Amino acid sequence: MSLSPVEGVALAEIESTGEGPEQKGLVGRSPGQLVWNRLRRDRTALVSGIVLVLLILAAVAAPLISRLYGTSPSQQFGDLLDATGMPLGYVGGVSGDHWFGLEPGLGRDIFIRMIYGIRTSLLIALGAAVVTTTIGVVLGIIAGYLGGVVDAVIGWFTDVALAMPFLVFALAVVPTFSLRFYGPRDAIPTWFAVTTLIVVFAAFGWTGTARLVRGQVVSLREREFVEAARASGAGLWHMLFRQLLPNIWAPILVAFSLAVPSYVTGEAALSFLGVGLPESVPSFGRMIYRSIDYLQTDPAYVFFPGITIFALVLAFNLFGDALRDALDPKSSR
Amino acid sequence: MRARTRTLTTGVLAAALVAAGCSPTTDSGGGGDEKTKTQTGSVSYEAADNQGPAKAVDGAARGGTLTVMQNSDFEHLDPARNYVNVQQVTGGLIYRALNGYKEDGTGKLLLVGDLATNPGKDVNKDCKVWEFTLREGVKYEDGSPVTSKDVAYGIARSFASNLNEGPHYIQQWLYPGGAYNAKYQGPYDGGKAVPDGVETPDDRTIRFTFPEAHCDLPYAAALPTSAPVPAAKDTRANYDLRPFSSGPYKVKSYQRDVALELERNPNWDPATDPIRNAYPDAIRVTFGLEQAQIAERLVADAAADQAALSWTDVPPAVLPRTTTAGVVERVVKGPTQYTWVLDINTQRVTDLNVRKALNYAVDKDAALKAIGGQAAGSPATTLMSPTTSGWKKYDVFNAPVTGDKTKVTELLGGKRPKLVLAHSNTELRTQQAEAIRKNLTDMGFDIVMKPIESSSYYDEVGRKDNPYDLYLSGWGSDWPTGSTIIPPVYDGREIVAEGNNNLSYLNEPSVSAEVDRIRNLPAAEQDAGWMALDEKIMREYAPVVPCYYDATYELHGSKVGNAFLSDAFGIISLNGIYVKK
Repeated sequence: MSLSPVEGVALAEIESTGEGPEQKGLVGRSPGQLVWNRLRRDRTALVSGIVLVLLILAAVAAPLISRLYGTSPSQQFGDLLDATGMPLGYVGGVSGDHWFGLEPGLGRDIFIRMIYGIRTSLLIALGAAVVTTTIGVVLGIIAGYLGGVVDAVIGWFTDVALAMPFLVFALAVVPTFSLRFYGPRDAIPTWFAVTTLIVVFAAFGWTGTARLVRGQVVSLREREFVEAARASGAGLWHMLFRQLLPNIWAPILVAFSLAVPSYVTGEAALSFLGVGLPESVPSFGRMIYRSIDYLQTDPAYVFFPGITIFALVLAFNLFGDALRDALDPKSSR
Repeated sequence: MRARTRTLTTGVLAAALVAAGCSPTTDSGGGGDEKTKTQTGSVSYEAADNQGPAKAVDGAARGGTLTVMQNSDFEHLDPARNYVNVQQVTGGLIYRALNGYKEDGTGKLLLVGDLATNPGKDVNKDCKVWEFTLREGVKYEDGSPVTSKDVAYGIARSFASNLNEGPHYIQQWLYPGGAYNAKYQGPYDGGKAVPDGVETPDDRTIRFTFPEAHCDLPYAAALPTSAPVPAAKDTRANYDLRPFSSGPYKVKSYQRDVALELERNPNWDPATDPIRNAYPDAIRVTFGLEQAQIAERLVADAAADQAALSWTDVPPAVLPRTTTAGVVERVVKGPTQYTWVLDINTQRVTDLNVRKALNYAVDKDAALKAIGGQAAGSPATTLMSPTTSGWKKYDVFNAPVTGDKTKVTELLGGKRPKLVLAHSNTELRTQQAEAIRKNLTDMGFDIVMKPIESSSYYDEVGRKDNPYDLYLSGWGSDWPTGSTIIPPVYDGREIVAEGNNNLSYLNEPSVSAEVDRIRNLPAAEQDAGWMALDEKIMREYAPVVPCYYDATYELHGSKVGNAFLSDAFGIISLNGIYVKK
């Protein structure tokens, strides 16, 4: 799998340098167009992109799918379970009404819970990735450009955040956080649980991007165009976001696309440990956690959610790789 | 006694994915082929029942090592602190109480004298003065004789405030009114050697004198607090780790959270013991195994695990694998004395119609299927379990097992009550709570789920001012009569600030008055009295929703013989068990 992007990119490079018969003439292309062309010719990017688009569409249209499918994610089909709570019929209760079968015990429909699970996972993962990237970019660019004391202080904060054990912190903070805002009799709304998770991810996830961006800026800040801008009296804001930022978009985009799948698995891990989302919210992590016990007795329960989260994470990772290749074809892998 | 909790399964099965999709799962038996049986429990004064040695088991042979695989270590083995069924069965191999249960696996449960020659003499026929005569020739592990003074000392030390985890029936009866140890705190720190009302006229006689009548004393004397403890061997809090043996086995080694090893006590004489056969040469209890792992190992029945059993229920995920030939005959299952109810906090839910509506609403089938269906229990309609003597089935509400929506709507009268459902945060209990939440939401309630850390679950809901409305709890009798179910769980006078057993906080003077009336009935009429009160409580106050009668579903290896479910403890009994050659 890991070879194909290289071949694809190499091919794209050759073609874009004008070897193709139809590209004899000089055609002006913006960097964006170049990236798009390279991406389009990369089959891995194409396939993973299509998978991503499909999954995102499914997530966005979850309520619509639920209506068409005729089942809600919390609906329980107890009458389709046997006396010990195992789904009746073949392969964990797969049928025309329940495409991926039913959960043992509660008898909820696996297909529609997965659709909603994708929604939850993507919402949290994209939210967390946007927040962490923003924090990371701002802090990294400031540290890299200003240097000196500011750089040192931001560096210390980065080190502290990196040194803190994420899981221990999450296990301690998430329950306390909800207790702080909601009494023992209040329902904790889903948006709050989701926000808490995003905040926890953001508190730890910004360090990587910050260091990456700082390194890039340090290598850029002595370049001529920066000197020139400084000499013509550009302010700090202009320097940071007009002069430096546009030159480091490529690594940021790549870091972002690689962060998303890591948050998908992160959310799964936290729900797995019981500090993620409440039971009523369909979540991949919880589904997989529960299903592992049924590996031998109801493999379908493990298979469908497992294969979907695998596809989601793999598609994001491959797309991220392909994007990096497209943005910066000369970088060594 | 409080039920052991069904624990969280975190075991990751290291087994390969098998093609289980080849055969369909079918619904056999329609969900109700578990027969409930009523205990024929009785106190036997027959000489034949009370005489040792215990009747030999057909085909049994002495020798071998029996392994018991457990999820977690025992909390306490000290007889004064021993109140959980798995500990009581294990403790019963190490020390002998005044009385004990004699069982043969046919459902016949007899209370007979264990240390005592019979289950206690009611001296004046008023249940106030009870006398026990100890058997001759009962010896400790060092060969010294067991005396009635040691029994009295054992009871005395159970009053000590740092040894307070055990049952306190005899203790409370000796000092009625107020906390059991308000007036006497045991023999330590200058306290009297024996509590008031306990006399030992000679080395083989012990006499209890109670201010009030207690016809249940023979049962209370079967609890481990009446086991003998020689004062010279008392190590106080450390006695937990090495109780001094008066039974067939003594502690060889006990490594906390790892294993307890028992070996034969050479000074135990089978002729003095009508209850225990003690066939295996050694018994090893191992701790720290995951529930799923235990079940998988017992299903696999590898050579090393063939002489093993577990008191841990088979988790739902492994259940389908226990129905195949070669495994199904190694399943020990059946009803236990525990009834699980959905407690309604009557301090908060004061509207009787809402409580009745809840009784019509709860889908007991869904609540059961979430934790293993008929392997986990059968739907309940009464407060006491079918194993209680004198139990009769009744159903005040006559709702279908999945609930009756029309009745609920009618009783709620257009309201939509907001209720907080607290649950233990283990995986199974969370699933079960979700089943109940969904079902009650569909029935017209607004339910908020609140997970509580499993280790402090009963502490949290046992606080009188807890902020929750609904929570599940299980209670099992300490002996098979209603007197250890209705009074501790439904008598409002027992409510204290913390550590309550009356979790619905039902405080009705009419129930309390009825409890007093039944307690003073002749012993023969009490069973019917408790059953009538059980129905009266449900009919008039509906303080709980009876959910299911707990069932046990345990496995043993292929070389374990005579493994049957003890009706007294609800787990596999070890007294007559043997290791096949």
